[in-house]
Amino acid sequence: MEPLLVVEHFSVQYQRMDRPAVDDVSLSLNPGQVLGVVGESGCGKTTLIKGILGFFPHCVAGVAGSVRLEGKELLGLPDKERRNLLGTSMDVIAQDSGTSLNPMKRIGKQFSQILGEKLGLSYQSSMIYARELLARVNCPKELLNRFPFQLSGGQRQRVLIALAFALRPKLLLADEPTSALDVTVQGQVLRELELLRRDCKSAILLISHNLGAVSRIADQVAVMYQGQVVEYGETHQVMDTPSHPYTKGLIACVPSLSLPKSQRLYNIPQGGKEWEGGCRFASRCPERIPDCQRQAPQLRPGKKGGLVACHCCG
Amino acid sequence: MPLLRLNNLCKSYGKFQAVDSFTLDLEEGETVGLVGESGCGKSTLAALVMGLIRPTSGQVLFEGRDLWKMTGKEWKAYRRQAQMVFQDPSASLSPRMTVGESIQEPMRNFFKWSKEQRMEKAKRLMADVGLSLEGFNRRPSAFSGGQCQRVAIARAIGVSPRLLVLDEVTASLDVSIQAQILNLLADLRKAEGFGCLFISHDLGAVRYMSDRVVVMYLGRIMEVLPGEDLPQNAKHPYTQLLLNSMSFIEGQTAQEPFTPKEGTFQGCPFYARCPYGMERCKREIPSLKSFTQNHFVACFYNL
Repeated sequence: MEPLLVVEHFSVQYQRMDRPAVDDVSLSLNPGQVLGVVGESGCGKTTLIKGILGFFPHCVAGVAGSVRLEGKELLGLPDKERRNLLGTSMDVIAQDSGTSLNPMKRIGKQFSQILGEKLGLSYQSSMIYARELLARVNCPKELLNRFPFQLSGGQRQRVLIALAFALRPKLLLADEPTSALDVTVQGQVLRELELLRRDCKSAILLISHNLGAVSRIADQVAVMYQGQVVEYGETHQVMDTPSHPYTKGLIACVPSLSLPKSQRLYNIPQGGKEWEGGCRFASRCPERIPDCQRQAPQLRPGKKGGLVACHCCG
Repeated sequence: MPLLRLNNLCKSYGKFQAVDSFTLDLEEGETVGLVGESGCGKSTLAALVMGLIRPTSGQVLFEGRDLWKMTGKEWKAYRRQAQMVFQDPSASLSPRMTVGESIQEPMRNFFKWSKEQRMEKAKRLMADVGLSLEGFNRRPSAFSGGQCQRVAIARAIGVSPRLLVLDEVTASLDVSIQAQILNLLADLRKAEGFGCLFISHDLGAVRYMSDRVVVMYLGRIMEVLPGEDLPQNAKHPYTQLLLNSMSFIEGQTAQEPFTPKEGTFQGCPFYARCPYGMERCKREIPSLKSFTQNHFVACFYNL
């Protein structure tokens, strides 16, 4: 059986950029699975999500590869058909959920509009349903009468998760859903995403710059660097025994509470000159060998399981 | 005499108490970490320490002198000796000045140096914070977030401050850049010997940077403890909640969700969210009591 989401050799090139923002990325996601995508800003995480959704801004010069949801090719799909998929087949939660809600309309109105269009509910029944949904994500029903700016960041994030509960998307794309939130609220939002996965069997593509933050609910993790996937494997294996030097660096530079107090934080070395070929991480890599600057490493099975794109640790 | 003393500091906006009975000493060269959720009054406290807003009651004392009773000359000296770095570096640097001009600006305000002296100092500072001199004549828009933050730090330490207020300086940065900025600050602190008020909602970063950690909730101090004790010896239920949330996110422990109590209470500000709340907590506000010699807790449950 084909997985729910298949991304194959997917590339996105922006105008006036020397390299593609997303470069030959292949991923797959089964129903009910959570895949974490981790990397620094500018590594192409958000472009990847926009690409799956089919939101290409005008500055995109070229797109290649294939994105299939339940066997249906999404690239090149007419806007009208894609619109039908949004919400029930795939749904998105952005980092700053304030921008995904309409600032001019009360939360209740937005609920009734979306539930009406996607599920065919009347105004009255959608309001009853909305109250139930808000209770499920621990929000008071008074929120329905408020405007988005009157809600806290955590509440706005939970309103979007509540909508996802109603629409039961097969695939949820979450772009840094917890990065802007306090630690206590982060925990709550992650817990609600976990519930969503359990109750609605939704698959989740979770994007973050912090490996620790995705390790809670992700089954698998893909680490991206400059548009390419450099390591891909089961979460515990990537977290506990990382293979790629970049993954190791990402884990080591977090000021974890279990770190001895006197120990200095690890710094990933700064890159030297512009990339000229070979491995993109080579100029910053502490383990590089002469081969790295000549030839780009392919993603292949590593010694510790999973997939790694590296000449030295494969 | 401590470098900075906050004495029963209060700031209210109408009925809302942003900072309430805040008392804290910061010694010369010491780093105090201030941690708490958004809305707990961390940034208000930073503004009070910098003298940007006037406290409703209580005092901010710098070397024993009240900020709001200083003479003009003392005030100007204070403005040099206390510097601040903000969360969003691209918003705190002028987009119309080159980076070199930005770094020189505070020096021009406080020192009677020649242009050559200032240029030389600014170039040395840029090297100190790990920036190449190529960027000296560029504007902030040409720099990344982490680089802008380095410029903001160079600007602040250029006038040899004795107190540096750092308000969420790493919050908007990638983890790998966060680590670089934290290491840079630790090095500069060793070299320059300034005292630091390090404000953050990231417990890991606060523990890494701080000699002492102050945990704040709704404007009040909940717990003060040495940085190295934070993971193991935290006593206040709120500090424990923060620590548990962190290990929950990292997937190390399970955590039972706790439903807050409804209603408003006169007593402990944390009562509504506290799993150990007692009758007494509802009525009385616990004061900060010494637990060990340098560990203070404001909680009835732990006494």
